[in-house]
Amino acid sequence: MESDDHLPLDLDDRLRRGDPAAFEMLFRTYYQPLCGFAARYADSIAVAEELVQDVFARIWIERARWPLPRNRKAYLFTAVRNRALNAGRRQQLELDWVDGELHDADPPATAESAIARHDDPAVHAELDRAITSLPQRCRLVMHLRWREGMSYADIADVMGISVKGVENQLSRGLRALRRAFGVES
Amino acid sequence: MPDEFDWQLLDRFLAGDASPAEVDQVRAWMSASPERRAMVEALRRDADSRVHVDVNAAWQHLAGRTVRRSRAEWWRNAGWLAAAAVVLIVGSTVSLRMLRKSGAAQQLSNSWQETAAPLGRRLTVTLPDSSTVVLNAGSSLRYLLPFDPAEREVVLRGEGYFTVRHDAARPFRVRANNVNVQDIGTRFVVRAYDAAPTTIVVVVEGAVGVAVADTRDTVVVKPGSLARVTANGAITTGTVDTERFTGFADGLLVLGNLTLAEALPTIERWYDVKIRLTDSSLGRRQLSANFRDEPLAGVLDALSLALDVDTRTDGRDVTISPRKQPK
Repeated sequence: MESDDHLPLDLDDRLRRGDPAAFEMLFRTYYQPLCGFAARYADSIAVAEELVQDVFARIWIERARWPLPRNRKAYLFTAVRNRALNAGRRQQLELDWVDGELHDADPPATAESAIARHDDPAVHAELDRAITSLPQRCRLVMHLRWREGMSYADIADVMGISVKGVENQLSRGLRALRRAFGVES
Repeated sequence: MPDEFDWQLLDRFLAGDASPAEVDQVRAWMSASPERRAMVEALRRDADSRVHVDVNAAWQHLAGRTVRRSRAEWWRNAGWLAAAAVVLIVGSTVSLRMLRKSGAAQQLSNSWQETAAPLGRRLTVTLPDSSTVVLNAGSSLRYLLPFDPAEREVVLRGEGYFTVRHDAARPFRVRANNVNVQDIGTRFVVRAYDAAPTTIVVVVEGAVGVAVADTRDTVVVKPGSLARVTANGAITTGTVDTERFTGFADGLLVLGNLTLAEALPTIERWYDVKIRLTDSSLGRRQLSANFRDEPLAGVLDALSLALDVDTRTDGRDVTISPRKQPK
């Protein structure tokens, strides 16, 4: 998929030539979504923002080598992920499903009554806990897929896994939630 | 999926990729039980949640570290180079490799280097990779410092005669107007004046690829040939007497088969003058002449004879008018 961010067609060229306006457009388009993604790796929003700003500062310094990415969005998310992994303890940040055992998301504490009252905002946090207890890697894939609307191929690029791996994360995540929420069949 | 659990359909729904019919299917599935509805709504909340950041404040902060800094460096650099150019105009050869070693250039990391030939002069620029460019009067060349030997790229405004140190592994690129020129060989001229409707590439030795920016159209131009690229990206090629285009580098003012109107910008840049025609119909008169190291007065004398005009010079202003017939 080509970049579909409605930025000017010559944006990549202009960025390489060091056009500050092109750099600013790129920043304003992607800063918020990248911070949302980085926040999944960071302890606080402030740390996430710092991480994303570092990525952009690096892009500006190396602008002459800006690689004319096939998909700018996937490229930027990849850069943020790499930065986050380098900044933190790699292993801890992307815990995966534990092999050989079925990982069930924790059911909401008082599942039945909570689900019965699921329209009540006060019980949302309880229900959301089923999602937050999924493995981090699964949550990151879900984020890129459902918040950012990325294709499987782009998510595979960003996360450094195969397309099959992306499908696997999504299907395992949804199946685990189905059990946690007590959804039959 | 009326009752089946179809994770792929649910995935498309949450990603916003589902067709209207599929959306209805998921809604029907959800409405059949509170557990299903609670699960999908929890996933939606998760996908819709946003972290709150202040983009304007963030940009101000980042700009201070990046673009504002580069701008400040660029201006420092430009002012310094202008001073250097004044000193070096006499010799008219600036070795930027030499300049880079001086203290003033040390702080120019990652900023544009711009060097320009003043009106009335030509300037030979030696790039850090030892390629040379003769800039015609009023033309300029920009490139990033530090000059990346793996990615040799310069931006030209005006006219330059390039003699490139060929290195197949490290292509040399010239960007000019809407045209990207990639060196395959060694010697070529690029003419890309802002005001002119076409960009011209003339190859003397070797070969170059001429590509139109934002398209895949590329032609390879061979020695003795020229490519013209219009503003809307049409490329035409043909053979040519290359000396008409390279002559400027040897101090030859070439005015070949042009109307006076077409020749005026070239003469103005060459001598740093402004020329006014009192009668615009004079612009249609045809001329063809070469001048080597000729002072302005000599060129104007030649023009007045060949075109049957009177010329008057007042400082940097030249007026050309129809010849008054002697009574």
